Amino acid sequence: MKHPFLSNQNKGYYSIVWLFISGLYALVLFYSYDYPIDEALVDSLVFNGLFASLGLAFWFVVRYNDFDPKQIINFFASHAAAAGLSIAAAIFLSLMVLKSIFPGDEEYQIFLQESVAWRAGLGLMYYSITTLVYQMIKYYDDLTERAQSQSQLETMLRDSELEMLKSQINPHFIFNSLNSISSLTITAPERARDMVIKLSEFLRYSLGKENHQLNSVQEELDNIWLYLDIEKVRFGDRLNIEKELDPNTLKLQLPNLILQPLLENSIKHGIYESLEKITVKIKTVIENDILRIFISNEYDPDAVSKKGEGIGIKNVSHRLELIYGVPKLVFTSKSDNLFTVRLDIPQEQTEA
Amino acid sequence: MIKAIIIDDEQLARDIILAYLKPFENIEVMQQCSDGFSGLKAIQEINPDLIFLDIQMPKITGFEMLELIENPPLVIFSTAFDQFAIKAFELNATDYLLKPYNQDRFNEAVKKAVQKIESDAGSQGEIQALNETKEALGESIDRIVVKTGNKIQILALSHIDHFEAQDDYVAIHAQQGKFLKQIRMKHLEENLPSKEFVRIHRSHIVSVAGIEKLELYEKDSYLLSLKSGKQLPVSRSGHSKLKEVLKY
Repeated sequence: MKHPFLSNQNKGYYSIVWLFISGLYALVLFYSYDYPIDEALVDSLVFNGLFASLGLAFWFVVRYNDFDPKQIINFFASHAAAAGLSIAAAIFLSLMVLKSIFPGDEEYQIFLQESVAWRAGLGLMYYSITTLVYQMIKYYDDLTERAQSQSQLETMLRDSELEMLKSQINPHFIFNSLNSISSLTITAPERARDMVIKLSEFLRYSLGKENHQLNSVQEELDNIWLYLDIEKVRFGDRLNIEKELDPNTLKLQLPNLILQPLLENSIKHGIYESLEKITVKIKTVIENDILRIFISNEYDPDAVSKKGEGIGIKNVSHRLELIYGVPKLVFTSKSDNLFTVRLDIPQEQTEA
Repeated sequence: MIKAIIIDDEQLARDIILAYLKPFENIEVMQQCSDGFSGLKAIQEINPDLIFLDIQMPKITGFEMLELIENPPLVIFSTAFDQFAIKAFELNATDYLLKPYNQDRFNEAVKKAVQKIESDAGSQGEIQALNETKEALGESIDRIVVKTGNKIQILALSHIDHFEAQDDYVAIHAQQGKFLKQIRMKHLEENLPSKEFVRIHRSHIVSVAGIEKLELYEKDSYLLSLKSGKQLPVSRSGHSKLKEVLKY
């Protein structure tokens, strides 16, 4: 924590306040005690000047003396010691200086002797007010600092949560695809080359994106088509894709790779668990500034599914909630042999 | 001539095995299957010496298919399974091919299998090794595949009421009926979800959801009634396990 009054701007304020106090002090001596203006001014400047300089040092008493209810005695003892020492020193010094400046004025010399008591009182007041102001500044600084680190922590937490929720590419998909490529190099080298390129493009897109970035529907869908093309090479005619895209939706924004886990689910519960031909359908519409995306897949209702259901959808839902701050943006429905997920992506949203 | 069958749900994965098998003139691929059901049928009809088997397939996995065969042929797995599983395979010396694999690695696996077939060390030890492999994988059980005659059924755990030890087999009492399966009680006990199934006795594992009531039968011995109407004895250790799960 820096000294609050030593920065350029605050130095000015601090001096102005002390000049004001010195002015008042001189006026009181001049009007109420009938001292000549020069004596009043010099007295004021010496005495208040000393406290102004000492006041800067009081900061350190506050800064390094934390208030702890368990050590309340320590707290007050150190303040009392600081106050006592500095007030005594200020009075001693100012009297010494003032005596030597006006040696001839006897009345003033007597006044100086008698003034020790009220100077001490005034010094105590200076000390109290200054340290109180410091204490307030320190408290306020602590508070903003804590709020800052709190919000920093929250952002970090949110980021790491988002990172975790981001779809992880299924290694099975990659290795099975590589195996397909390996097989194609023997039977159909051009198709192998084609698939290598598709897989590379898909990986480049999926691995290289920053988390918060919103992408256009077009970009995201292009990546999905790559993914589905690759799966189609693996599963051939068993996988059928249908698209129903509203052209007005293609330029809208959505979080990157948000569709990927949902398509993976469709493939997993559709193709992986069925012997029949399976249709996966993607549909986009825009309604009242909400981009709606439907992803549906046929499935075999008799399949006794292995575990791990619903995690993908839960993660997508949680991620959308973190990004848009709206809880329910994912809806699922299940009919006889059709499973549908709907995402509602709010638009008019600048970078989240 | 060695008779072989390829079982994999991806055409291209079957293609590469076929291509790699070309140099082996003494191995003939009798059939290609794209799922465990047709694979099982083909194995029963053809009685092959060697099968190439994928693990992740629709309906039933390669492991589940093997469980249904009394005397399985030699198996070479070809799978994209991850490292952890591979270690388990290695321990039991069942050969595996990690997709994608090259011709050399493939040759190695096939030669090993051919040697076994020719020396007739065959499949005797194999089934045990397989079961051990599956148990070593430590995968929790989430469904059970059974076979009656030529019909294969996949039982969801929620449809199973009670497992009963019967000599080398376990009788599975499910909503669909009673089925016999060659499986060990200990394996079931360890890998069924522990909150849903309790081993109440050396010979009995029951579904918690199917419990009707627990009664004191004699001093220190309890009798469990199932919703299906069956009454089963509860051993002392079974009773303390029940207590833990039912929290009474």
